Amino acid sequence: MRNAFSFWRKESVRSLTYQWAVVVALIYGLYWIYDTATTNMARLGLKTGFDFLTDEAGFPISPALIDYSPKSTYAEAMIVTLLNTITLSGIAIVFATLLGFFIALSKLSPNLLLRKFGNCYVEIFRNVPLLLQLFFWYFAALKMLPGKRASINFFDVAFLNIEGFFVPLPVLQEGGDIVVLSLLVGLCVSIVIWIWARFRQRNTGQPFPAFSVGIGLVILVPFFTAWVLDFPIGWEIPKFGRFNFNGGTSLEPEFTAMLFGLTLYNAAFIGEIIRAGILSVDKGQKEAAMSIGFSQMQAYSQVIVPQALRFIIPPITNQYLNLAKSTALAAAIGYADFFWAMDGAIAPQTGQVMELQAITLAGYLGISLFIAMLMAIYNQFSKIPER
Amino acid sequence: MQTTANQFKNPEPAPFKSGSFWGWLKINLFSSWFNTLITICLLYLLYAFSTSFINWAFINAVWFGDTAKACPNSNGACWAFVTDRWRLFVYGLYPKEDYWRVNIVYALAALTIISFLFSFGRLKKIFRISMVTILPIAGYILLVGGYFGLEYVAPENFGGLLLTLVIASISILGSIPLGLMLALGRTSNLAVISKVCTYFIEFWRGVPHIVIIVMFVALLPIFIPDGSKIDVVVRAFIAFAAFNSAYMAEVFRGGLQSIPNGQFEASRALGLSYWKMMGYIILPQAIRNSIPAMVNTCIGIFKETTIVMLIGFSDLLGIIQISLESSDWVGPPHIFSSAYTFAALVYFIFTFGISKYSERLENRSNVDS
Repeated sequence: MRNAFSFWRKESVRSLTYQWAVVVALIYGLYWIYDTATTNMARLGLKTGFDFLTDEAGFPISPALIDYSPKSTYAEAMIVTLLNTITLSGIAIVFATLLGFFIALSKLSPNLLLRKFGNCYVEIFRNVPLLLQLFFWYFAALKMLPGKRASINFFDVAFLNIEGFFVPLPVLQEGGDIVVLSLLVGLCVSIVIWIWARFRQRNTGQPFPAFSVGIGLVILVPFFTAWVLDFPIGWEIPKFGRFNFNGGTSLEPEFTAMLFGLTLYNAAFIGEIIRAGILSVDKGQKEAAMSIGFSQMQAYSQVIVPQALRFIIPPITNQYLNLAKSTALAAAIGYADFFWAMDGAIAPQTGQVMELQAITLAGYLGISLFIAMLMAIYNQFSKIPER
Repeated sequence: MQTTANQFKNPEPAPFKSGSFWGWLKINLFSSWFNTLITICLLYLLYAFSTSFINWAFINAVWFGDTAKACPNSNGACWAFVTDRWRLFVYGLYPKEDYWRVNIVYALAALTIISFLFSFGRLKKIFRISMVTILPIAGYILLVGGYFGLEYVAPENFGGLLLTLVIASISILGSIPLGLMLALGRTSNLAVISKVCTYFIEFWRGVPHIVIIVMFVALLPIFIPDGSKIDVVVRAFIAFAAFNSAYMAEVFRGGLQSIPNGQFEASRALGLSYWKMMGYIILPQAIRNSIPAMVNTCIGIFKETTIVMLIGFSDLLGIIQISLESSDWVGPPHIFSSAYTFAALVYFIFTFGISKYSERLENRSNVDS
């Protein structure tokens, strides 16, 4: 069978050839794209380069978590809106997970009505496009709220009206930072105790009530410090002045609509993920736990949930990523998120679409990678050690 | 905290007879005082919600009218908006005298759905395959026209439900072969090919869809040689195919990974080449295993089509939004809520239908179809 082509029958030769062919084609393709793009841009007279980043932005952004005014630069505008995107995703992830947990519980409940209720919730919110839900909250539901003078009053402390949700803001008086510091210290100490308790239980089997001790530390330590320092934290309560509310802080309707839409939509998916995770644990595990005298609570917290987490974390990571990406729809209802700034505000002003597109892609890829990394760390932590 | 019991527990009471109606009630609704409380609360909520919904949607609703003045009251739904504009929602800006072309395509689509829902004995396979081939070809000829004396209709005139369905079907049909190729590439033994496919897939999956679509619509002209032109609708289709193929690729990769290694080894041992092994042994099993996940991705694609309205297309949601802001119907927010309820119902019928179909497929996944 030896002939001129016999070298071709060797697997290694073929695989190397294929791979080099792909590399060459890829490099040529990228070069071709680069070449056409540069000629086209030269022909159209488009500006290039990142010099515009230090120019004055000239448009307002609300809400802004850090100092920002229309006199700030484009780079600062990008950072402010990126922070808005991250805040929105973070808060929505927390709320959606909590709500999803309750939906999973209701779908697993022994009560038939509650099960049906959970089922209806999931089917309705999962099967309607997110953009439509956002529109519903923004253009229909929140627009039905009363005007400023007829605000819905929550115990004279918080006010809800068509212009937003006005809530009190904590103000630190003298010594207030010490209370905040003690809260942080309590948090750190309880995390350390939690880790130590895990190690001890793993090595010796001795349990330690880390959760209740941690809660106690987080609540009691700051409370005690505040009591010693005579409560140096005040609340700034919104007051209706002549034309508008003064003091406190407000959640814009855009933000509220985004939060509602994202939370309710993603909670349906997260609920299904958690339910599937809990159901994936064999029934015998619970029966075994109950038969050695565990209470229902203990069976769930010590036996079922640790095993369910292995099934839950990969799909829930995916869902978190989806949520973070779908915050870009905020541009549709005018919430000042990253995509809104890049595509709606900066691109028309500067015209440097290429650079802006590159920064947008980098920003969102960065957020996605960050979430994926956090979840990977958590996954390492919740892995069941196999002997 | 004690983890083991050191004495016997009291015996549990004998199980309640579950056969009777009262037994069923007790087990499902009143098994403990807490459950009884939940049942009562939910029953009350159900009563309050359904009465107010029936009042809103039927009793106080306004069914006909041609301006926002027809619906002055916010306690009833404004279906007049839907009955006034339904042609726009179904056909978009398609020329009125050519509605029959769209109707034929809708009828063909309905026939295709029927061919998948019911079994027709020996004809089943032929029926399904012929419908799936006829529908895109006949759909293209009838909708775009330009052949057989049919007048040309520019894709910009598509709108409403028609545009939604066209975008969804093109992205589904385009992303399945592309996704299959990417999945094969990612699971390949050739390091370079697998790396390239992995980065390609992860890039599309890491970026919001709206960013990708804006990128294609705004930037594609810069990346093609001067003189050639790609229509804006086609650019959107390319964008949809690009990111959806990445999602499909992950679905197929799941299917490929579900095939036990023995199948690969056995086909290698029989001396099959890579393509023969994939074509005859692996893919038929892998694709069947990935059908449920594929259907779920299709539901996602269908819902995602709504974002084309953000780049100025008038799909179903887009045209509803435009109509709501037109001078005849601009008005109080309760018209918006009626319109969105209608839109949600239309989307729900499609997505819920597909998901029920996928459940049925899953339930008989062991049966050779």
